[in-house]
Amino acid sequence: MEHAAVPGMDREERLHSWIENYSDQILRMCFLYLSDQAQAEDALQDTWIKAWKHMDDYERNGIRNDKAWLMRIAINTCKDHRRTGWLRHIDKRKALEDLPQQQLQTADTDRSLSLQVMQLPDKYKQVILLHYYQGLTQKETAQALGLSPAAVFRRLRSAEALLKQILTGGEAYDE
Amino acid sequence: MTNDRIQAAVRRKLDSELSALRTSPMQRESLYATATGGIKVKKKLTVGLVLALILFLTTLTALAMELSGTGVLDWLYRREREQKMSTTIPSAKGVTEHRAASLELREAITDGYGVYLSLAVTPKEEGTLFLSNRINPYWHTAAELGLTTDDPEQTVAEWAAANGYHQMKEIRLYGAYTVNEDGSTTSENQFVVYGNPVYVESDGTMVFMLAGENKGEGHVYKLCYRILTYPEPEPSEQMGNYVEMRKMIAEYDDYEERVITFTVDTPQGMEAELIAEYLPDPGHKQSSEFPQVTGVRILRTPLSAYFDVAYVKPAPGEQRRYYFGEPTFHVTPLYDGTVRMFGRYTETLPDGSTQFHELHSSFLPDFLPDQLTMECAMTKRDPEFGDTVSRVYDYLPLLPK
Repeated sequence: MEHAAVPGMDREERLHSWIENYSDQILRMCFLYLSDQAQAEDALQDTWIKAWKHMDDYERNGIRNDKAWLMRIAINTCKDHRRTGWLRHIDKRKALEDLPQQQLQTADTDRSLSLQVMQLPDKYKQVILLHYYQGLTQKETAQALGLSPAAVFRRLRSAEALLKQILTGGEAYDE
Repeated sequence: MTNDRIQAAVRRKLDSELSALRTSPMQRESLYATATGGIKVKKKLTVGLVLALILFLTTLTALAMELSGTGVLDWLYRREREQKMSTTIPSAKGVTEHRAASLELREAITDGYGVYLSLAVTPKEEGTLFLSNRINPYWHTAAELGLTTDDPEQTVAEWAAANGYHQMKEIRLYGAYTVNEDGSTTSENQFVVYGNPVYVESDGTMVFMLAGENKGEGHVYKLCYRILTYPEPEPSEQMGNYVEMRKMIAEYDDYEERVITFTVDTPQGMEAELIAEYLPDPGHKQSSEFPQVTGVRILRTPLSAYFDVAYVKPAPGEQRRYYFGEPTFHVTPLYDGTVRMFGRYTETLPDGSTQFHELHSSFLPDFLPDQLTMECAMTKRDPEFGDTVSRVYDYLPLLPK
């Protein structure tokens, strides 16, 4: 279910609504991108700071799809964090194993898809996270990544084949 | 499978796998206050961040290494670095000349717990890039290995091509064992490659950092290596060029184990300082299927910090029928995910029983927390699924003694 901010909300209410509805999704996306929980939490915080700071742009441009706008900010924030070079030495498997366990009673404990996604090259990871995980359209994904729709289409086609393999139990690649 | 069905399946599976990752109402309030207040909350000095900082400094120090001519201590980067520490230049014996490279064990140092080495690998053929264990050059980025690049997405293979390397080889440093006086080996003492950053010197020499458990004065260590050539990448419709790492073994033309032996002098008067001791939270019942942890000591030496986990194994019985191998422990606020010195030893208690110990080197935060969490991992076989094995975990809260 998508949570669009209600028209007529003031900006504080809008931000509050976004934080309530999208924080977990953004946190998970950032974690998959950055492979580190603390970094993902920092990226989440930065995403909300940027969203608040650019609320004028949001209103001026009449943004209709809140989620796509927020995911664009979040993925670019992750890319910024990535550029800092702090993440070179993250052990992705350990990053997953470090997640809290106490809430996993009903959860999927194999985490194989998360690990596979985390190990992909960024260009495939980005389209999988935005299109397949967050549900952005190809056009929105292209806008979020600053790529041409054709480039996104090519990456999605490759990612789709890979995901089919993973989801149907085929071996996608060796580590 | 249609696109919509893939989207739904991906969302469902990732949300399920990451369900533990969520924000609390208090966190969301804090996020709101931070965003609207315009004041950024000071970033948490997590162990991960401390690690990243130290690794960053390590990389910088490695750069200084070539200029200063120093080695292991610079790699390790410790605040006690100002201390005068004697390092040993090992008298390496064994195979140090390979047809593909010359190997030089430049330095070795021990604090009585860990042995730390720097190994320089100089390719014999110009334009050869050596990579350490388990690096897939078509998947890992150059940035991940600490190689200088402006493009965070550039793969190692792309970096190699752009920097004049026409072939890539892997040096697989898969273990070193203590050689006992009678010539037999003790297989417990594994050396592992320390982190990923490989420092490349101006003449093309790659310097690797290794760490292992110290077995005491007089022991001879055996460092084993193999050099493998990466096969030609295979084009894949899905992912472009890639290398199946398993094929490296199949196509590997140099199966012989090569060995460098060396000794390390144990320095005199180097004491470990006990800086903290934690005991299991008495309010928490330890699972009988897992080893019973009796305590964790945290020690510091001029070279590193260590945590020493003492535990008693459960009696063999029905409950442990499906478990095998040794347990491994991580003190989660301290463990940083980087492979470091690792060792095991046993202690005979006054009542004649055996207490087992696992020892890890570790970075420590400036202030130790009031509570630690111990993660114990065991390997379990699931008889219903043939030889399927999985890792199972138990978490134990620890309180200061």
